[in-house]
Amino acid sequence: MQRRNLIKGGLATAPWVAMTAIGLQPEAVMAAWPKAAFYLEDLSEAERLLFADTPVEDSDRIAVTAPDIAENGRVVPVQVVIDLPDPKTLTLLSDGNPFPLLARARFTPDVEPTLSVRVKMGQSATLIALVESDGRLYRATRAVKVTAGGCGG
Amino acid sequence: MRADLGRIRAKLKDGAILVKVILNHPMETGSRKDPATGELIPRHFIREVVCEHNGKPVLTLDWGWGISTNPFLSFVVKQGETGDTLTVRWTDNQQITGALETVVN
Repeated sequence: MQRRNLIKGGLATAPWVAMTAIGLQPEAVMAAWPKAAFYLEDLSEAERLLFADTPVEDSDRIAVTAPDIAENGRVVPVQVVIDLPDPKTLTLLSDGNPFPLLARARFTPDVEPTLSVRVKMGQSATLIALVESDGRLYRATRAVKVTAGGCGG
Repeated sequence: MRADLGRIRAKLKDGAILVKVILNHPMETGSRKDPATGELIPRHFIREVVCEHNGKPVLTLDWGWGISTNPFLSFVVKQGETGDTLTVRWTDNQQITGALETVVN
């Protein structure tokens, strides 16, 4: 079953670790809060843990909206609107936070594939939205300038 | 339903339900010091949020401590009608749970 999914998704050549990537796991495992990824301090390590070696494509069908300049880094409103077929998950990261992984949404077909949250940004940084859709991984980014950081205090 | 848990509102629009939620929670990062004692305030954050439409989970969110204090959340249920129940349940890293519920009117 797992192997069949992999082949269908065009990931047959990906190494074995690809099967542990979120989205390719059995439902019960996927339901768990991804603890290890939230505790990683390196962006690329967090991405790798969540998605293994799945190739990422930049997409203009993911709209990330956030202020150009955030005066208060403790409350930065972010909206992500997805116009991709059958999106399963949306992962939101910031390349400027001590712990880059901010949030992950797991969609069902019953809801619109959008996410509106307010996040903390310690410094000016780029927000990264990664979307799993149709067995592939898509990315969109948004730069935010922060004039007062939100992680110290 | 305790009022101090936050607020939930659900509005019917063109057959869809727009839900807006504010959850009262400190969302402590673990790197902030208590100004009085100088001690680090322990990390305390909502980890998982499950949004339900008439009891059926329709959206699940995994959060870290990078989500703002008193988190705001909004989502749209594609099809709904008057009388439908919307529930938002959360669990934090100290295993404290909360739920907010409203009926579409």
